[in-house]
Amino acid sequence: MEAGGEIFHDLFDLWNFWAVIVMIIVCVWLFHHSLRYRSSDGKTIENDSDHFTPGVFPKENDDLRMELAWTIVPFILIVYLTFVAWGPLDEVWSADENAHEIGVTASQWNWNFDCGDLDADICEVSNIDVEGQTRPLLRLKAGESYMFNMTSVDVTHAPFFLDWGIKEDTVPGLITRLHYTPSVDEIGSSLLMCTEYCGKDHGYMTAVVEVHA
Amino acid sequence: MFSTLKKPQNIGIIAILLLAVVMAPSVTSYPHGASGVQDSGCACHGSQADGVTPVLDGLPNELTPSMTYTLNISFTGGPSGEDPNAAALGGFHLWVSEGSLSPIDGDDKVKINPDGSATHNGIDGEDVGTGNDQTSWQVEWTAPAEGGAKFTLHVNSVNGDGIASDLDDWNRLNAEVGPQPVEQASGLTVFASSILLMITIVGGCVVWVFYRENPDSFSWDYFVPWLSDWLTTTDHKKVGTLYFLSGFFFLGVGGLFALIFRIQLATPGNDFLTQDEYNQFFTMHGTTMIFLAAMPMIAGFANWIVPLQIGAHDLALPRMNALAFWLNPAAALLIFTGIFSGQGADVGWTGYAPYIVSHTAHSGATLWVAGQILLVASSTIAGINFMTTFCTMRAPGMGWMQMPLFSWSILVATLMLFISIPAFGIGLIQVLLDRTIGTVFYEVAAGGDPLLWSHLFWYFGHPEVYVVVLPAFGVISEVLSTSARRTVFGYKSMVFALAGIGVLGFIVYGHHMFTSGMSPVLRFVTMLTTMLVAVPTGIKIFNWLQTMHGGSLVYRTHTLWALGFLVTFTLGGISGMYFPAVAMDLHLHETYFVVAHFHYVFVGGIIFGLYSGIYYWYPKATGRMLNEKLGVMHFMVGFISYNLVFWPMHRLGIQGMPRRQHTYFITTDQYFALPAEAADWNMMITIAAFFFAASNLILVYNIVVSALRGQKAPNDPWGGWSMEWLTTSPPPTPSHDPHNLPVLQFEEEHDDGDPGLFGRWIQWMMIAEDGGEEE
Repeated sequence: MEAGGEIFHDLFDLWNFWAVIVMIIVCVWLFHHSLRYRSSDGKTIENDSDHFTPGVFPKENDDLRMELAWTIVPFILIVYLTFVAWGPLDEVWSADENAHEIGVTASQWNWNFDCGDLDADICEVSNIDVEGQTRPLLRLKAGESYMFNMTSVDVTHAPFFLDWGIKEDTVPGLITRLHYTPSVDEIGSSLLMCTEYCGKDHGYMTAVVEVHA
Repeated sequence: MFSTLKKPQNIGIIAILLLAVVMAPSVTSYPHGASGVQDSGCACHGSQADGVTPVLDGLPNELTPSMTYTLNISFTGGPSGEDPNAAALGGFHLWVSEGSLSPIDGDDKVKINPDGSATHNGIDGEDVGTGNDQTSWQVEWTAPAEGGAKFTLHVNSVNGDGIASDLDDWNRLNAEVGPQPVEQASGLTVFASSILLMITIVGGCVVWVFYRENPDSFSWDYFVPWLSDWLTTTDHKKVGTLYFLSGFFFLGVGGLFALIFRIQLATPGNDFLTQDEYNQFFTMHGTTMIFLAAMPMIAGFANWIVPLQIGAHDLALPRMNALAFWLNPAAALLIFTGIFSGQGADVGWTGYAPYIVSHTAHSGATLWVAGQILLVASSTIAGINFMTTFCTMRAPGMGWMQMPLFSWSILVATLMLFISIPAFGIGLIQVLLDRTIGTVFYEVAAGGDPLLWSHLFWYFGHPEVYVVVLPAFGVISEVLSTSARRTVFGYKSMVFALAGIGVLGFIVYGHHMFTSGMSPVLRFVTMLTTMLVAVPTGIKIFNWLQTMHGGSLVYRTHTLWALGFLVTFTLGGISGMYFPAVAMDLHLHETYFVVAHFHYVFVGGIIFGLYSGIYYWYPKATGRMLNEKLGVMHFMVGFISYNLVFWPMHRLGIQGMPRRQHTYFITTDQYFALPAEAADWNMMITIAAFFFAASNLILVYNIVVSALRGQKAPNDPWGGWSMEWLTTSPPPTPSHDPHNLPVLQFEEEHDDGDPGLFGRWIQWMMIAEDGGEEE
């Protein structure tokens, strides 16, 4: 298993690719210029074309074409990346109309899952031991699509579905939603943690989500 | 208002206020109030008398959780029963800290008060045989599910004359059962000792500095004038030094917090800190580093350098400047007060509602909020001061587009701060009122909206990030240009990039709230705007790189830090580009990837920039050169250990390690969590963190030793062009002769000495028609 869902990893790999390219350009440029144009002994000034004098505004040093180049080229890259990041929003934010609805109620410092009248095969809640503490175990079926309707009774919490790479705050007085369809690749149990700071036992506010075939 | 009052009136008002503060706690009658029911919760009549003996029977030796016990309450002695035809015999009041009291079924002699305590039923002189005509009563108590309880029993022995009078007597009994919380030193003792210790240390340092300034003609006679000169100074250089020292001190304090909780996180399942302590420590680490370390250090640089650089003799409003500084120590005391009493703020530096107004948040959060309000006031005053200075006090000949880039960065930063911080102030005042006088701005049951706080906070919080990073940009521009002996490449595009970041900073804050339940439309819009931030930031980085072209780079310590900054800040900027992609942020949000990103920006950007600035301007400020060997050592150890601390955090974040958690979970047979290697990475981070902290001691040592024995510095040791290098090192007071201000000269002909359209517009916005400048 690996933390983060498929959408995350596709985007992440693409971003890494461009990050490496940008970083290589910056580093090569930095090392080349800082070594090529250096003073040989730290005292001699080989090229003092701008000879600074205190209180005198120095000669201009610019080149509009170069400045425009590194305004426009990064802008194009940004537009491309934005376009790529735009795509998966539909999948993240729009739910299947026939999704099974599961209620999630957060409280300090517990998760409460409500399967409603769903079949035990589709959704079932029991208990599991996490480092000596009894925590809820939510069992779901791979290939089924789920909609989590979430709220909180006291302060803000946020369930982090580690294996799927999604999270959303549960806000008191508000119903927030998360939608996901676990695939057959995601069969197995993974930890669910709270990722919005909520007080003393925040770090131990866990649950386990199991996806079965 | 106070200025019109006479001294005795002032003292009178202060005395009344003090009296009110002392009286206030005893006014409350809640059982958990500051004085509590033990002192004032009994409506006993008569006086307390030893002759009356209360008895509380039926408490077990070993407490069974949640079990119900029958308690027998009785008393002996006092005037009760002396009258054979007594109208009443006695009464009682039993209060318990945990569990619940209830009358025995069918017993009408005992009633339960709304606050959960038990008392007798009936009124004196009525109905012989009811609850107040007894000397013993029974009540049931259900023990709490865990822990023990404390009982307080009041009994009243009544003489039976039918009047609640002074002739009656009462007495009190305290009892406890089950495990009690460990006795702690009183918060006041700890607080007082901490303050005494701090005063001793700071006092020792001050006396030492006083001695060292003039060791040959040392005399105590000069001490008080010397000290009061520092405490009441309005000189921008001295206020700047005070700002810088306080910021540097709190950089150490914040670092200590970080080291302590890094020990906690070194191994999974560690219990070096309790959860309560851990929560306070990460809160105070964030708050201290941003508000008490980074901001004052930047203010210190701005105070020192801006008037020198734009050719002014001081800031426009020197007394306001001193006020802005002196709000800082007061704020720091308030923010830290909770820590000394064991109830420090545990709300995270973001202080999210509704947790911050919930009863589970520590009481120290109230003073934490109060301290932040003082900092808001300080920043607002400083903002007015700097903007006025820039608008009215630039040297003759210096148009907007001839200001050195460090000054430009401070101008943009103060402008952003000035516009954004009122939102934070409003939020803080709402929270303070919620926590103290019971308003319901964030009480969800009363219709309060928790997201309002997030909006107010991040509307300020995101610009705040740029407020602290822009001055670092300014420092790097100065340092790289001077070291490379080249004019900074694309001066105008640098200014426009600064301004562009200043504008964009206000419309991107929604990216902190991608998972907060905020409207998807806002999420989408801020995704687009956040992506755009890369453009002006990219312009700046490429301009810096191109500045070195054709130059003659002189390697000094400040050059090394500036080059290091270029690497780490670019990495921090690139990792920032991962968050605006909402689908990716859903995974990365609130994980260590975020922690890694903002430490690459805050430490690798701001702190590295400020270190560069320290090495660059130290000779100007003190008249002594810093030791270059120690400086290079500081850079090598610091730069390497810094990367070892924060680079692995990216990996931990991708693996799903959430931030702000007391511990982390490793994958077991039962469930998938963090891989086993996460524990090794965390151990490595902790070890490297200690090296990084140690590297800063090199800087402290260098600063102290060079101040005593460093080489004398010339006026312009690095060959810079801006006006601070015109003055002597250290500069005189006033910094430039006010009657003979320097005039900016130009290396080459230029056609934009007169303000352009934009410059005229700002001038029109900022300065009144009738001239505005002095006289």
